[in-house]
Amino acid sequence: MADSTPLILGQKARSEFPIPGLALFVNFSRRKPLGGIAFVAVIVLVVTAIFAPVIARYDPNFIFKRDNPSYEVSPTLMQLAADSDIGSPVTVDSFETPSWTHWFGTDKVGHDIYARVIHGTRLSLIVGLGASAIAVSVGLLVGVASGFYRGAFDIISQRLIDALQAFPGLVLLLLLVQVAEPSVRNTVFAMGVIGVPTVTRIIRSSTLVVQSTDYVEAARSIGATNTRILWRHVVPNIFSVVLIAFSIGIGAYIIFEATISFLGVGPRGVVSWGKMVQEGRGSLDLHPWLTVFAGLAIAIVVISFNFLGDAIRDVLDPRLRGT
Amino acid sequence: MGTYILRRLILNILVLWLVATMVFLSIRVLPGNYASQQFAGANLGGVSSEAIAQAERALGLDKPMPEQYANFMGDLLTLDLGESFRTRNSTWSELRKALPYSAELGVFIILVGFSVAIPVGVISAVKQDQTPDYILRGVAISALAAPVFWTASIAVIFVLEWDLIQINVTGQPHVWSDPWGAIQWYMIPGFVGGFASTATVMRLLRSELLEVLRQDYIRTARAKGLTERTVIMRHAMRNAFLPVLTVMGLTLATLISSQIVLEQMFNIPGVGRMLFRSITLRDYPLFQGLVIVTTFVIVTTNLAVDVLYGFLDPRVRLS
Amino acid sequence: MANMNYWSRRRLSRRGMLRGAAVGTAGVAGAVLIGCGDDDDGGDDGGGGGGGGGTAAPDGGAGPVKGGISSLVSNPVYDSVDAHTSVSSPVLTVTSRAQSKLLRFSNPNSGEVAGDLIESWEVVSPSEYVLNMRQGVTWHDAGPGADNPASTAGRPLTTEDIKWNIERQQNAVFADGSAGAFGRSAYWNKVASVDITDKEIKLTLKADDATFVEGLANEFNTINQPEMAEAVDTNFSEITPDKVIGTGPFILTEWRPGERVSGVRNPNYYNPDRPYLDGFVYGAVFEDPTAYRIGFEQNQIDRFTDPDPDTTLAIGADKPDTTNTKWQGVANTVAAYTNTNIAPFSDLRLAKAIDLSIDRRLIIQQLHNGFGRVSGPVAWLQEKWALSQEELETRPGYQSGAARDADIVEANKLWQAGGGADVGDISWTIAQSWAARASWNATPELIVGMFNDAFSTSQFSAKTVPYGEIIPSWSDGTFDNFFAWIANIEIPDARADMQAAFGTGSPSNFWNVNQPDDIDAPLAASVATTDIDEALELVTGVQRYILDNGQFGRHICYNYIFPAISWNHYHTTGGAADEGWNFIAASLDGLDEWLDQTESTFSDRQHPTATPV
Repeated sequence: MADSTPLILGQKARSEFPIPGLALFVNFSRRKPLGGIAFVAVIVLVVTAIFAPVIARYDPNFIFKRDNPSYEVSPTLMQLAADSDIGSPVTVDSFETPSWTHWFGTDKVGHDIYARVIHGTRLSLIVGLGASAIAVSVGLLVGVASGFYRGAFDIISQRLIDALQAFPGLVLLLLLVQVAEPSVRNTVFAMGVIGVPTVTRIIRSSTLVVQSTDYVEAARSIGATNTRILWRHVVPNIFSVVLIAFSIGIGAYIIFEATISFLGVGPRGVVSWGKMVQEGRGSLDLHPWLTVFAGLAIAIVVISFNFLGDAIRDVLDPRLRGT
Repeated sequence: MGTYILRRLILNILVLWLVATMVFLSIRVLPGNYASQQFAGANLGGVSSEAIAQAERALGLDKPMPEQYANFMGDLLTLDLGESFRTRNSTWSELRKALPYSAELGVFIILVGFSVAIPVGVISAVKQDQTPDYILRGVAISALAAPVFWTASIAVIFVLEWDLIQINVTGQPHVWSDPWGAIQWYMIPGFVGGFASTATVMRLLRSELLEVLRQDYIRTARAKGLTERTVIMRHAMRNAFLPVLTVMGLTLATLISSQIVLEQMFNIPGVGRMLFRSITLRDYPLFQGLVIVTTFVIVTTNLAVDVLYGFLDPRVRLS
Repeated sequence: MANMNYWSRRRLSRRGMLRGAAVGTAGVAGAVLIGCGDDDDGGDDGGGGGGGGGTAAPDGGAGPVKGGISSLVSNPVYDSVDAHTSVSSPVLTVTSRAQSKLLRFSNPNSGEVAGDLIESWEVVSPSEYVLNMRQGVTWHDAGPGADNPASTAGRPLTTEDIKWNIERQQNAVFADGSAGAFGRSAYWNKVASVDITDKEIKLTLKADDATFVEGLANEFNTINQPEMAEAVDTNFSEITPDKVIGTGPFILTEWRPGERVSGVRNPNYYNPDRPYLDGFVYGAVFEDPTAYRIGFEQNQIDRFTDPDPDTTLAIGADKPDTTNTKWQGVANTVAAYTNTNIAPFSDLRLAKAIDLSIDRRLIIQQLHNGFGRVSGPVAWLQEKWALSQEELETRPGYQSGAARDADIVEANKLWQAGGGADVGDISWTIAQSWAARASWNATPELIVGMFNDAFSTSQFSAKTVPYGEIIPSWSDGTFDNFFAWIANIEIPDARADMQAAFGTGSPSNFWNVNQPDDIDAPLAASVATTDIDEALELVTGVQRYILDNGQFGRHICYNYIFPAISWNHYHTTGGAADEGWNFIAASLDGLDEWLDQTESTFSDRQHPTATPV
C-alpha cells in the first residue's frame, strides 16, 4: 500500500466500497463521529455555495417593492414621520417578518434575507478556503525551504516571520485590506498573508523533525540527493501537517472576514454575513431577523470547519500540539 | 549557552528593526493621510486643496519619505514616539491613559476564559471521546464560532431591555476607583470575549493533557496507587500547562485584535480602539507608537520564552 | 453629528407620536452639517437651539428654569479652534457656546434674524448697512481662554474688534502674513469698506445684495478677540481650550478632542436671562451606535441621534412615555453628480438621461426608510425658495412607480442618442464614509443597479473612495461621477447658494456652468432687488431652466430627515409649538437648552460635572 496515506489507519479494505474515498470517510467517521458530521456539513455548505442561485429562491440583490396607494405628493413632515411610506408611490418591503414569501424576512433595503444568507456561503467559503490555501502554499514553500536548506535564507525568513507575527492579526488585516480597493480577491490575499507566519512556523518545525529522523539520515548516508530526500521523505511526511494547518485556520478566516465587514472595511459588491450583522444590529430589538440569521450562519459554518479540523488533527497526528 | 543568548539577542534586534520599518511603511501605504482624512465627511465645497496642504505642512507630512523615515528612526532610538496628530498629546501619554483600560478588560477576559477553559479542558481530556467530552467541546467550539460582535449585540439588547446592570459608558470607571461600576461596565465584553477565547485555550490544554497522560511517568504514578485526581493535578497539569503559558504570550497579540471590536462597542478607551481610530484617521505617530510598543513587547516576550526553552531543553539550543 | 435643523413638537404619548399633529410646513434649513458618514458615528451636536428669545415652553409645562448641566456627545476630530478657519461644523458646536455672532436667526422659516452682538441695524440701501453694536458686552473674564496671557480678559467689546474680524476674513491671511484658508472670505469680500465709530459699524458693499444680512447670522461668522486670534495664528489645529475666548453664554473650560468638552455659565453674559444651564458637558465620543445607545438608555446622555433612524425609533418604541422625539432635517443635500466637464457627460444629453432615470423617491425609501423629501435645485429645506413638491412631482425624474415609465422611455432615447452602449464603462464613486455606515452599505450597488436597470445595460459600476482622494479631484475638474452630498446649506436664503453652484466662474461651480443670460443675470437681479416677490420669481425661473437642462450634471435628489430622541427632562425651546422649527441650531446653541429638574427621568440621571473655571 505504498500510495495510501500512511498515517490514517483504515480498517476496512478499500475494495469493499464502490465510491472512491468512501472507505476513508466511513473509517474516519467511525473514529471521530463529530468529525464525520462536520464533514457532511462542510459538503452541504460547499453544495449550497455552488448551487446558491438554485437554492436561494430569489436573487439576493432583488429588491421587493410594492405599490403604495396612500401616496401623498406633499406630505407634511409630521405625516412623514408618522408613516414614512407615504412619500412614494412605490415602497420597499423593508424589514418584513418571516413568512412564506420570505422565509427569513427582508432586510432594510428590501432584499430577501434567506437568499442573502444562502449566497453569503460563497464569500465565506471563498475566503476561508482561499485564504487558507494561500497561507498553506506560501507557508509550505517558505517553511520547507527554511527547514530543509537552512542557512541565511532560514535566518532571514524566520526574522521576517517573527516580525510579521508580532503584529496583532486584526491590525495587520485592517491595514492590508485598505491598501487597495476592497474586492474579494484583495481580501483573500490579505488574509492569506496574515496566516503565512503561523503555517510557516509549523511546517518548518515539522521539516526539521523529519530531517533529523534516522530514516533521512540513512538516506543521506547512502548518497541520496537533496531533491530526492525532499520529495520522497520530507513532503509525504509533512503532508498531514499541511492538511491540519489547512483545516484549522478556515474558521478563523471566516470570523476575520465577518469582523472586518462588521467594521466596514470588508469586500464590497458581495453578500457578506458580517455586513448583514452590522446592518441589522441598529434595531435588533425591533427587527432581529437580519442579525440573528446572519450570525447563526457564521456560527454554523465556523463550527463545522472547526470540528472537522479538530477531528482531522486528532486522527492524523495526535503528536501535533498547540498550533 | 552564552553564545545562544547572544545570537538570539542580535537576531532580536534585527527583528525589532524589521518591525519598526514595517510599521512605518504599512500605515503610509494606505491611501490618504491625516490632513485629508480629518475632513472625511466635511463640506467638499469648503475643503480646498489649500486647506489640505495647509494641514499637511502643519503636521510635517509634506517632507519627503526618506526624511520622515530618518526622523522616525532617530526619534525611536531616543524612545520618542511623537505626538498624535489629532490630540497633540504625546503617544506615551496616550498609551499611559489607554493601557489600564485594556489591561482591565484583558484581565477580565483571561480570567473568564481560563476559569471556564481549565475545568472544561481537563474534563474533556480525562473523559476523552466520551459524552462529557463531546458536550463540552461542542459547547466550547460553539462559543468560539459565534462572532464576538454578534453575541455582544444580542447581550446588550437583553441587558437594556431588562435593565440588568449599569454600563457606565460615559463615566468609564477604573477598577480601583469604582470597582462595582467597572465590573458592570466590563461584564458583557469580558464574558463575551472570555467565552470566545475559551475554546482556544481549552483545546490546547486538552491536547497537551492527552499527550501527557499517555506518558510513562503517568502510568507509574497510577501504578503507585495515587488517586486519579492527584495524578492529574499534581503530575499531568504541571507538564501540560507550560505550553499553555507560552501560548499566553502569543495571545497578547490576539487579545488586542479581539478587543478592538469590544472596546468600540462599549466605549472602552483602550489600546484597541485607539489603534483602530489611528488607522482610520491615518494618525501616523499614534499608530506607529502603539504598534511598536505592542510588537516590541511581543517580540521580547518571545525572546524570553525562547531563552527559557533554551535553558530547559538542550535540543532546542543545538538545533 | 453637527447641529441639525429640527421641528420641535409637543411631547406626545406614543400613539400621539405616531399620529402626530401636523406641525406645519417645513421651515428652512440652515445648519451646517458635517458628514454623517465619518467615524463619529452618531456623534451628536451640541443640542438644538430654540427659536426666538425666551418664549414659553412648547408643551405648556412649567417653562424654562435655570440650573443643571446638559450631557451630550462630542466629536473625535476638530479641525480648528476657530470657526473662521474651520470647514467642519463639530467645531461650531463648541465655538457657538463660547462665542457670539453679529446676528442670529430667530425664525429660519422666514429667514428672520435677530440681533446678537448687534442690537439693531438699518438697511440704508441694499449696499449700505449700519449696525449698532450692543453696549456693555464684555469678553470672558475667567477660564482658560481668559487666563491666557495672549488675551485680554474682561475688557469691553469694541467696534474695532468687529472691524478686525471682518477684515481678517477678507484678507485671508494670518498674523504672520501667511495665506490661510478662510471659508467665509468670499462672503466678506462683498464688503467694500468698513467704517466704524464707537457704537456703529457702517458696511458698504461692492454691489447691491439683499442676501447680505442673513449671511451675518451664518454660524461660522463668530466674533473672535483679535489679540487672541493673532496669538493662535497658524496653530489653530492644535485644539486646546485656552485658545478660545468669547462673549458668548458659556465659558469654555475643557476641550479635549475625542474625550471631553465642557463649559460653565458666563456670569457676565449680556442677556441676564440666559443661558438657562449652569454648564454643558460633551462627555463622550461614541464611535459605535451600541455604546451610544447604552449611554442614552441608561440615562447618562440626554439625547440620542443617528442618521439611521432605526435605532432611534427602536428606542422610542421601547420608552414612549419617558422620551420625546424630534425630527431634524439634514442640510446636506443628497445628489448624483455627473462630471459634465469631460466625456461622456460633456454630451449633455447623457447627463439629462441620467437626471431622468434617477428614482429619487425609491432611494429615499431604501436608504432612509422613506424619511425624506425630494429636492430640486433649491432644497426643500430652504422652503421659501424651493420649488413646491407638487411642481417637482410633475418633473421628469421626480416620480416613482408607473409614472416613471415615461421618464425611462425618454431617458433611454436620450441615452441612445448620446451613444448608448458605445459610451463604454461608467464608474460612480461613493464616499467611503457614506458606504461604511450600516444602513447605507448597499448604496453603491443600489445606485448602479438603478442605472443599469433603467438603461438595460451593465455599463455602470461603483467604487468607494475615501474623501481625501475625492477632494483634490473636485478642484481640478477631473472628479468621477459621484453620489451623496458635497455641500451643505448654511442659511435659509437660497440665492447665494445658487450663485455659488451655478455662477460662471464661481469656485464651487465644479461643472463650469456658463449661462450668463439664463442663470447669472436673473440670479444677480434677484440678489440686488429688495422686492422679495420679484426675487422669488427670478429664482423659480432659474430653477426651472436648470431642471430643463438635466440640472447641468448636478442632479439634486433629496434631503432626508431623521429623529433625535431625548429624555423628557431635556428641553430646547423653539417658537410656537405648532409651527415647525427648522433652523440653524448652532447659532442658538446653548441659549435655549434647559433641564426640567422636576421630571422623573431627571432623578434617574447620571449627572455630569462640568469642569470648573
